[in-house]
Amino acid sequence: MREEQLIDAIGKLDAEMFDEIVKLRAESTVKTADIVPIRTKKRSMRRWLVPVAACLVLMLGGFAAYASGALDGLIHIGTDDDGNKMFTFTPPENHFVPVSELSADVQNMTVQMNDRLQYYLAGEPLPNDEMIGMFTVDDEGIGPNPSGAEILSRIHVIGYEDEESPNLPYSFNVGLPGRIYKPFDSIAEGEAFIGYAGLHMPALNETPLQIGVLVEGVNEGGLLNATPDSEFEIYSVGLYASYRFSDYTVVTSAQIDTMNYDGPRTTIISDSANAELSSETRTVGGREFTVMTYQPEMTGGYVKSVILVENRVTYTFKMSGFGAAYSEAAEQSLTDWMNSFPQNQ
Amino acid sequence: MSDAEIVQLYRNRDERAIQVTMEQYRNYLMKIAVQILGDEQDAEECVNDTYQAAWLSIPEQRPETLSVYLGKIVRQEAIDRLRARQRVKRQGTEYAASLEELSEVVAGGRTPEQEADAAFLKEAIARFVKGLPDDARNLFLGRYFYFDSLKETAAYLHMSESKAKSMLLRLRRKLRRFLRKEGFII
Repeated sequence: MREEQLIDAIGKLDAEMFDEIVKLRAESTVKTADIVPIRTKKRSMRRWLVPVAACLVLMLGGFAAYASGALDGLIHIGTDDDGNKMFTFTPPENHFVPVSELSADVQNMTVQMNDRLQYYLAGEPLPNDEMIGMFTVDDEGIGPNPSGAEILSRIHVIGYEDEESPNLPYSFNVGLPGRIYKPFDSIAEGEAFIGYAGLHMPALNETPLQIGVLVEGVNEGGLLNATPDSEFEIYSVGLYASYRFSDYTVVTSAQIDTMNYDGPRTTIISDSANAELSSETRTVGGREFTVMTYQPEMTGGYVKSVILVENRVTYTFKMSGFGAAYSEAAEQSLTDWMNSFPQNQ
Repeated sequence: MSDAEIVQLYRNRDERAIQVTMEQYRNYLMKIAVQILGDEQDAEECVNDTYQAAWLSIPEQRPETLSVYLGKIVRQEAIDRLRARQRVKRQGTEYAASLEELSEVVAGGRTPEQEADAAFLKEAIARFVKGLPDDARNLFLGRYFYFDSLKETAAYLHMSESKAKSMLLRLRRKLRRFLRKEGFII
């Protein structure tokens, strides 16, 4: 969906909704100023693309806002004006990995981003975009640049067949020039693609449903100010693996930030004013993991999110057990992950 | 002259309808058009097109609130005109600023359903807006229907700019959650 569609839909609202505002505007004493060009602020793609390091509430639709204020550690837990719980992740000093330290494959993705930009500016579908994660597309026999109708007919939804079974808590709807997702068959392949020696993402003892690398970049001035020559800069590279167990799902990730794109990242848990939230630090194998647990109001069950930052990589483990109680098996998955980091890293 | 009387002029095919519309609604329509197009000359043409569209459509339509009816026409005319121009030249207007704000709501990605779902989206947006408290609804309409500046919107809603800004941010988040729940955003 594009924002213009929202604009169009807003333009078709019934007249009865305007009764009050018509009067308010008519009574307004504020004069219309001479039109002065408005500097649209640099478009922050990060504002609606949930930062991976704090991607704790995708199922609830929360997304990054702004720093909460005084911070007393790497992860600060607070509440927003509505009483919703929120986490602020402050990248530590020297956290950012220059793109030059990553593989040539990653660095060259800026060329792909510019190619995709041409389609975007022309209002055409971006090439080779897939909806991955919550949905998969049966692409056998599919031609290049398939129509929306054809894709629709080929969509297979993961996890929706069984209503009691939680679906994947992650989706990559790319659809933007600066956002490219590449699937891989193994975590090792994903790590090799990124090419950063300090990145070692643990695997769980279960075959992943999906593995891939998401590379995100931004052009100066944002898409609204993009021209065909706009160049992209990469700001984030993340390796993801998602798993499905009998009564919970897990997404693990290892994210590298290549620049301090927008400072501390806050994720707000939507509609969580009444949700219980607990946090703890667990020390395993000499490493300190921040573990946050809460019960989503909308879906019930629990969400457990764990963060470790090491060698300039942010590792996260997000477990979602919708409508389920936290089981021994779930705890085992978590401890397995925490114990799987390389020794003496 | 009341809206009902003006509408009756249209229905009677009385050409005074356009004259009266110009006298009573020109500034109102120009403001909407300028806030979208950023150019008075373009806006003037747009408003003239609106009078013509009103003349052609009102005998069939029975708008209850003429200002809203005309506002919708000029708004869409201006938006269509803007889109027909080069895509990137929207910057420098309240429309561009509003569009950028709303870009936070949508994923920007392509969904297979979006071609046919304009009607569903319209109905969903209507439900969303209708369910808002009065202040929030007026703020939302002021910013994203009329493209009034934050300063002006805050002023006629008798709130501070910072309150209006944070309220709009929460509304956009709420809309995003709502649209995801309705299946529009993946």
